[in-house]
Amino acid sequence: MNHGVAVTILSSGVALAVPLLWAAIGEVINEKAGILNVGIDGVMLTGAFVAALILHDTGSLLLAALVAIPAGALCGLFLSFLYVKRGTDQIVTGLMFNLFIVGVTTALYEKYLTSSERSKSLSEVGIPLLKDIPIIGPALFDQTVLVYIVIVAAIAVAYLLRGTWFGLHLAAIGERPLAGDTAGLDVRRLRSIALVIGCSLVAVGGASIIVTQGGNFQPNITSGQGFIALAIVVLGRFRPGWIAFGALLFGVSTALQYQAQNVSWMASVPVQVWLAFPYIVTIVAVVIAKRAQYPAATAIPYREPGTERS
Amino acid sequence: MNAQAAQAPSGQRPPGALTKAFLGLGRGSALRTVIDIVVAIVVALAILTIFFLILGADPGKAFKGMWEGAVGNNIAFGQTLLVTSPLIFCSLAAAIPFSARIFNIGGEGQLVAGAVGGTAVAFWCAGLPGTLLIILCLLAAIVAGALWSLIAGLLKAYASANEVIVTLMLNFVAALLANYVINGAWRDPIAPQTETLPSGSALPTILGNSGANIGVLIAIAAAIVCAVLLYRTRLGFGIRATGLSPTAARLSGFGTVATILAVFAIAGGAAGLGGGVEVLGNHHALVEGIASNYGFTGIAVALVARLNPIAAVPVAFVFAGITVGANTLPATTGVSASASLIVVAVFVLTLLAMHVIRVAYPEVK
Repeated sequence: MNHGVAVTILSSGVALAVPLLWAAIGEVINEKAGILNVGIDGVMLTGAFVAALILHDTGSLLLAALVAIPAGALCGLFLSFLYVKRGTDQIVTGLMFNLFIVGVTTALYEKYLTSSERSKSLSEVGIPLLKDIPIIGPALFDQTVLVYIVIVAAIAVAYLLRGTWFGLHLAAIGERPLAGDTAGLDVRRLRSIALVIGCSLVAVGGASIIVTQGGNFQPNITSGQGFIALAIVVLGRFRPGWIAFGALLFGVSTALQYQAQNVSWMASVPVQVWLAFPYIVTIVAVVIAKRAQYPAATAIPYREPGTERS
Repeated sequence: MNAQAAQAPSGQRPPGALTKAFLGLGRGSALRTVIDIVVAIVVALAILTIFFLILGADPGKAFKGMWEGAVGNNIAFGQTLLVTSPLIFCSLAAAIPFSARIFNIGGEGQLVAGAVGGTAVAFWCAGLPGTLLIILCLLAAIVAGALWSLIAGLLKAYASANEVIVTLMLNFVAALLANYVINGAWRDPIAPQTETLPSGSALPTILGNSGANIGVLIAIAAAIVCAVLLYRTRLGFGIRATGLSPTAARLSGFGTVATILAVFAIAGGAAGLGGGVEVLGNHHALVEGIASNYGFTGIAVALVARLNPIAAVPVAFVFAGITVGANTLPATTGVSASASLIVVAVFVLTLLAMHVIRVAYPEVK
């Protein structure tokens, strides 16, 4: 593998890591609060769809990325009604939410967006001097603006979780909701807020697929990236810094499929192997990072003691 | 916390509970369940109606078309039966593991793996007489689905890997495996599928010219087998006990590893058989996208059937009717056939929100 191919893989790996990182830093907020949002792929798909729709109507990439925030927040509100208010099982609720969003976005896409031939993407913004560093220069410092923003966002989420009362409260109710409740925290309210914030970030991840990869929506365009983000969160041990590295790992393993034909030994392996590579890496990651690492109350709905399930 | 809730003195009942109990509307009563299901149907249809209106389609025309497309004539009915069988198989692939509170979300991929296995054997053993070939292909489909499923089972049993993510990922890998086979030696020169299978491998048809085949009968038989297994055998008791309390089940001698491997093998075998039936009975070739969300709709079927394999049969028929009926939507109203997913998902979400469908939770520490 020559030098040029390596740089290309690394730099497209960084670009492909962006949607995953947005989704993963959103999901880490949910999971810290004790919500395992399996509906994450549906939230991403929603973000991608509204971004494509706005891009189609206005032509503005910035507006397309921004509109994902309220769309994601709405998803978060809807999911918090089910997960938190009604205390439904998060795994099956999330799956059914995904199915619902696949149905809605596919139908709306076939009605409004199939004619969309607009091919438009954010262009790279190089950071002077830094982008001239060999290998990591072009990979890290000659990227779209979304790469720089998501790094800032990851730092902000890290601060939110570890440096603010809100973050510490989330950690408390994610581990021992009953203890948090006894200490005066409103478990349901905190979890709902976490879901709204988290889903907003996840939806931006979906929108970033659209605004960086040609601007066209396809049914199921997320192709499981939300689920990969679930694995990245565990792999990153719920710390945004490690999660960023995890996202990069998956970005690079996705980037391999685009360069496989340029490297002789890679070209001799069936292309499906390279296409499947990120999914296989996810499985390996899940094996390495075991379920025991989740906050104790993850995926368990909270009910105040003595209340009856209606 | 469950224990605390149960110990709460009766004086702390929520207001209205006694009245509801008197009227037979208390939690868990049959009448209340029926009312809840009717409410869920109304909500699902209302959301779909709103969706039709947003898309500028005439709801009356759309619903009429769906009804006729699902059960309006012999061929429509046959199509619905054709879709009923993979939905039954995929619902079994969810119902058995979910009973042990093991979340196999991999029905989609296991169905594809079974389809690949059935296809391969059909081509390899093309010279064999019809009935023997069919039996071999279906057995291969069961084995292929079970082996595919056991990847997740082994990883969960021996490496505590989260089965939700692993099975979801294996769905994508299975689709790529099918894509590899489709573009391999048996490739059809024109369409994105393999060439047509040897003619002897086609499943016998039923109900005259309806297009339905014995696949749906095999599926009903599989549902009965699974029900007997779940409610009348030691293994089934172990599976259900594990779902209620893994610790208690383990202490009573139901090995966790054995239970995990058994449910994944059974689930994968069921979904794989569904894939084999799809290939031999419906498409007569391995086609791209053969799973077409049956795995996920199958989970919906299993949930609505409250994980009861027998109840899954009528539920699968209804959901198949919705799926097949929705295929008329593009022609009648210009709305995508994917609208069927909206009805199914909203219906199940409503039942979940009303606590008609419940999946047991681990004890809170």
